[in-house]
Amino acid sequence: MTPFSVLIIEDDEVAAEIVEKMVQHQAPEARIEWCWNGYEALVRVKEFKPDLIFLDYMMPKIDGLLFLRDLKKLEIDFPVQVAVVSAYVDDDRQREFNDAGADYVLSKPVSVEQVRKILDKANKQRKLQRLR
Amino acid sequence: MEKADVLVIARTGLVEKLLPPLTAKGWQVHVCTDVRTAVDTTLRVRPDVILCEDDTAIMSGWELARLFKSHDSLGRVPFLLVSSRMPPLADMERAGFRVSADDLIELPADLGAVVSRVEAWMAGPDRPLSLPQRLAGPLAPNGMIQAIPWRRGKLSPASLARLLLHLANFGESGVLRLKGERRQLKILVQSRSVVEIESNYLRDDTFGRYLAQLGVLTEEDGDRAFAVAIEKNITQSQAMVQMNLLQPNEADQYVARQKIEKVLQAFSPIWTGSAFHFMPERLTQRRFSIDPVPLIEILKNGLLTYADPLELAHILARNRGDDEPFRRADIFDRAVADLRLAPELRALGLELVGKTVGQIRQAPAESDDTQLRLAFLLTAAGGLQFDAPAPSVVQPQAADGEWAQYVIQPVGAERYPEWDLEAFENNLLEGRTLFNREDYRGAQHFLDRVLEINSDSSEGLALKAWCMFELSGRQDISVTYEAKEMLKLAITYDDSNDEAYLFLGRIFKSEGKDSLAGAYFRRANEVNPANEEARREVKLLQVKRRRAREWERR
Repeated sequence: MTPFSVLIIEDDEVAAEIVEKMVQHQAPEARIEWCWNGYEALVRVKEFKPDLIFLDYMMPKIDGLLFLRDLKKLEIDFPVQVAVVSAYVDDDRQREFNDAGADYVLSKPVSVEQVRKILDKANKQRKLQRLR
Repeated sequence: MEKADVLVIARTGLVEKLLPPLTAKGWQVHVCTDVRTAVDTTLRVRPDVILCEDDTAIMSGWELARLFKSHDSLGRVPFLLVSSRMPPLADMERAGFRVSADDLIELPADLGAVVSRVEAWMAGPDRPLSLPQRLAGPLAPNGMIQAIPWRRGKLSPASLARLLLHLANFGESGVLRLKGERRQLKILVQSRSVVEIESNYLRDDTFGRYLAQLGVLTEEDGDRAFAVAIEKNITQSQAMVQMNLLQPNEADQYVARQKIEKVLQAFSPIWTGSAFHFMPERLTQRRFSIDPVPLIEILKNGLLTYADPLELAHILARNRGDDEPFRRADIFDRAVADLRLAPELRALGLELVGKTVGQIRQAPAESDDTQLRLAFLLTAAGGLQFDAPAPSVVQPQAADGEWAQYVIQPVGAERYPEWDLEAFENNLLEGRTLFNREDYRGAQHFLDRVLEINSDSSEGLALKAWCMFELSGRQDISVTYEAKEMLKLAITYDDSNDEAYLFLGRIFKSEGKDSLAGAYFRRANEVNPANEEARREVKLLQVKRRRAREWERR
C-alpha cells in the first residue's frame, strides 16, 4: 500500500512547519509536501495525489475557498480529504467551507490533538475507500 | 462549421477588440475578465478554444496555461496565449523555455490573423502542432503538454539524440551526468567532443573480461591479471602491463575504448528511463585520460549499433503512426554533412524517402535494422520528415481579410526587450562556472545579466537566489526571505528545476526547518535523480531523524 500522503497548503512557512512536525510525529511514515499557495497546490495535487490536505484559508493568488471550489471541479481520480485551517471560524464561515467541500474545519492555532484526530479519521476513510 | 465556443480570458480592453471578429464567425464567445473564475467557466462551458491574454491580473496567462495543462479536464482544450513578442522558436528551444500554452499569438497582430489561428485550433485532427511539441523537436512524444528542456530529463534514444545534436551544433562545454538505478556516468564535454568519462561501474574487475570478449587476451590471462591486481593493489591494466600482456599505450587505448562503450550503451534499453542532466561549465581541467571523441560519432554509433531497433520503431511510430511516409527535408544534405555520413549511408537515406515506418519494419531481416536506425538518426537530425506535417504556421483565411486592418498593439512593457541568445547563453555559462567554483559574487554579476535578458529564466533565478543567500542571507533575514521568494518563482516558472528545490531545502535546513527541508530535498531528487547532492541531503536528514528518535527513546 502506498504511504499515507499529506499536502500542506500554507503561505506562512512557520505555520506549515508546525503542522508538518505534528503530522510527522503522529504519522512518521507519511509522505508530506508543502505548497505555498493555492495555485501551486492546484498544479501539484494531481501528481502528488494526497490523501489529506491541510489548507490555509488566507493565501495569495488562489485562496483556500477558491482552491476548494476548483479542486472539487477538477475531476481528480482519487479520494482526498480536506481540513481547512482558518484564523477566524464562525458558523457562517464553517458552512461556507463545508459547502465548498471541506471535510474538517479547524481554527488557528491548531493543536496536536486536532491533527491526531483528523489523521485517524482520514486514515480510516482511506481504508474504507480501498475496501469499496 | 458547427457551433463552437471560444473562451476569452482577458482584460476588458482586449475583449472589446476580440469580440466582433470572433462573434462574426458565428462562434459563441464567453468572456472571463477575472482569472479566478477561469477554471469554473472552462469546466462549465467546455470551450473548443481558450484565448488568454498574457498580462492578466493576479495570475499571468503563462501561469494559467500551466495550471490548465496540469489537469486532464482542462488540459484537453487548446490554450492560445496572446502575448507580447517572444524570442524565435529556435532560441526558445535552445534556451530551454518551459511553455505550456499550445500556441502563441504574438502582438502586434491583426484581428484576421487571430481569427485564423483560433479557427486552425478548432479543426480537430488537422490542428497545428502544439508549441511544446514544436519546441521538443521531431521525435517528441505525442500529446506533450509541457516543453521539455533538452538539457535534462529521462533517457531514451530520442532525448539522447536531441541532447547530443544540441551539444554538437552549439559547441557547449560542460558536464553531462547520467544516473540509472545503480549506474552513474559523468561525461565531460568540450569542443563538440567527449573528453573524459567517469563511471561508478567501470570497475577494474571487468577489464580482463572485456579484453577477452575482444579477443585481445584469453580468459585465463584475464583471471591471472585480476589476481595480480588484487595482490599488488593495482589496476588490472597496470597488472597486464607488468605481466607483459599489454604495452602501456595499448592498455590506455583499451581502457579508453571500454569507457566509450559505456557511453554508447546509454542508447541501449538498460538506460532507458534513467535521468540525465547537462550542466554547461567552462572546463578548467587540461589533461584527460581519453582522446576526444566527437559527439556526432557517439550519436551515430549509439543509434546505428547500440540502440534497440524495436524501441526506435516505437518512438518513430508513436508520432505519426506506422503509415506516414518519410520525405526528404530541405536540410537533408546539411544533416548528412553534419552527421558525417558515408556515401552509402546517404544513398540508403534517400531510399527511405516515400517509405513508412511500417514498410521499413517489414523489410528483409538483413537490411531492416540499418534502415530503421538510419531513419531514426536522420529524423532526429532533421534530414527526414514525416509526410504531410501538421502546420506550425497558420495562414490567415481570405474571408478574414476584412479584419486584417485592425491591429492589436501590445499593452505594457515588452516581455524580452533585450533578448540576445548568445549573450544569454554566455552569461549563464560564465555565471554557472563561477557558481560551481563558489565565487558567488562573480557569479552574481553574470546572473544579473542573464535575468536582465530573460527575467523568467528559472535557472538564472535559482542560481542568483543561492548566490544572494551565500553572500549575505545567513546574516540578513530580509535577504533570506528574498532568496526564498526568488526560488519559489523559479519553481513556478519551471517545476522540474531540481536546483531550485535543493536550494530552497538548504535554506530551510539552515533555519532549522528540517521537515520542510526534507520535503524539498526529496522533491529535488524526484524531479532529477541525477542530482547527487539532493540524494545526499535526503540521506543526511534521514540519519539525523533516526538519531533524534534513538535519543528520544533513551
